[in-house]
Amino acid sequence: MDKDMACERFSPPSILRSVLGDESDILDLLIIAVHETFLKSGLVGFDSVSGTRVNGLQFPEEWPSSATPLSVSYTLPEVLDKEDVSESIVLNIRRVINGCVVVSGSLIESRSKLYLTLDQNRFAPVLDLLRRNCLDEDKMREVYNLWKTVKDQLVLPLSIQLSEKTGATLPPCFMRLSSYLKRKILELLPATDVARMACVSSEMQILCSNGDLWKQRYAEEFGYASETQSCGNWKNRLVGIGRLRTIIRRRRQDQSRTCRISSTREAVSLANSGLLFWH
Amino acid sequence: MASSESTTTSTTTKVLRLKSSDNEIFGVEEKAALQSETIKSLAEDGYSEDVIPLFNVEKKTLAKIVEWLNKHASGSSKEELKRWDADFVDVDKDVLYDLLLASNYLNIEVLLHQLAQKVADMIKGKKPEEIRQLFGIKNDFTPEEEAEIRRENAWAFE
Repeated sequence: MDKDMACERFSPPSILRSVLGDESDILDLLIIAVHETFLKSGLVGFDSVSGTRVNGLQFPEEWPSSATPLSVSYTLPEVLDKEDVSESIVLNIRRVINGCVVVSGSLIESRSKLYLTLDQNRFAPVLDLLRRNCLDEDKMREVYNLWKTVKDQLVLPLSIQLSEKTGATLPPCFMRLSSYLKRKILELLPATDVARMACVSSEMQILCSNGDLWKQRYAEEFGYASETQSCGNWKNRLVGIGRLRTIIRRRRQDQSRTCRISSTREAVSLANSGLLFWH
Repeated sequence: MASSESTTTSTTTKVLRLKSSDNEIFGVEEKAALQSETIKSLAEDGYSEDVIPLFNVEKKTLAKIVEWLNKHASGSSKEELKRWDADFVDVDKDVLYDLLLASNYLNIEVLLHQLAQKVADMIKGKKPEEIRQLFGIKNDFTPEEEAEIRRENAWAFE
C-alpha cells in the first residue's frame, strides 16, 4: 500500500541506495554514506574558500597516507543566506591502517573535536550489497546502525553547536522539546537521575526543582506522600532518608571494625531534624 | 439495500486521509487513526469525509506515526508488539524528538509514553557531563553556581 511505500522512501537504506553509484570504488562507499547522512539532516555542502554551496564529494586521486585526510565542510542553508558566511562544520576523513575510517568533526576554528571510527570491513561490503539490491533483510540492520551512529555522534551534536554559534534554529533536539515533554521524561527517572539532570544546565535545574516531581518520587519510594506531613520539602525528605540509609549501611559494615561516631551523630541529628519519616 | 451496504463498509473499513504539513496524503483506516485523540476530535468536527490537515507533522514523521498506528490496530500479540515497539523507538535522536513532538501534537498517549521512556532510559545512570554531551546541552552555569548545585545534589553522586 502507499503508506508502506511512503515510509520506505524515508528509510536510510533507500536514501543511501539512491546515492551509492555503480561506478564508485567500494572503499569510497562508506564515505559517501557518511556524506549523505549529513546532507539528509538539513545541512548543505560548503566550500569554505569561496563561501559558496557545493554539491557532491571530491575524492582525492589516491589516498596516500593516513596523514592526508579528505576534508569536507557543511553549513546550514540559513547561514548560507547571510552575507558573511564563515561558520561551518569541518569533517576530516582519514583511512587508517587497520581498515578503519576515522572521521573527526568540529566547527571551523574550534579545537574541540568529535571523533568517530567506522570499520570499513564491516560496513563497505554491506553498502556494496545495498547498492546492488542484494542485501538480506537481516543485514539491513547494519545500514540503520551506520546511519544512526553517524547522526547521533556527529551530525546532531555538530548541528547543535553550529546553530548555537550562528543563532540559527536548533535541529530537533532535547532542548527544543517543550517543558511539558521534558517534565514527562523527568517523571520517568529515578530520584538520583533527576538530581543529576539538575546539574546539567540552569533550565534543567529549574525543571528538576519542581516540588510535585519530588513528591511523586517520595510516594513511589514509601507508598504515599500525605499532605498532612507538614509542608516540608519533598526532595530534602527523600534525600535525608537516602543518606540515613547509607549511613546505617556503612555503620553496619563498619561495626566489625571501628564504630563511626560521627556518622551516628549525623544520623541522630537528621532523625531529629523532622525531615525524616518512617513508614 | 444499497445504502445499508455502503454503511456497513464505511464502518468496517473507512479510511481517513491525513495530510502532512508538506502536503503528503496518507490513507489510514479509521480504527488505526482514531488512536490519536487529535485526529479523533478533528474527525468528529466533520473533517472525516475530507482530508484531515495535520499542520505540525512533516511527511517523514507522519509516515512513521502511521506505521505505528497501523501496527497497534493490527491485533498483534502483546509480546510481538513489545518487540516491535522496542525496534520502532530505536531510531536516531532527531527522529526520536520529531516523533515525541508529533505524538504530543497528535495526542497519542501510548506512543508518547514509549518515546519518553526511551529518552529516560538514555539518561539513566549518566553523569551531568555525559548528559550534556548526549543531548548537546550547553553548560550555562558559572563555576560558582555549578559548584553550589553539585554540592546540593552531592548525594546523587555517592
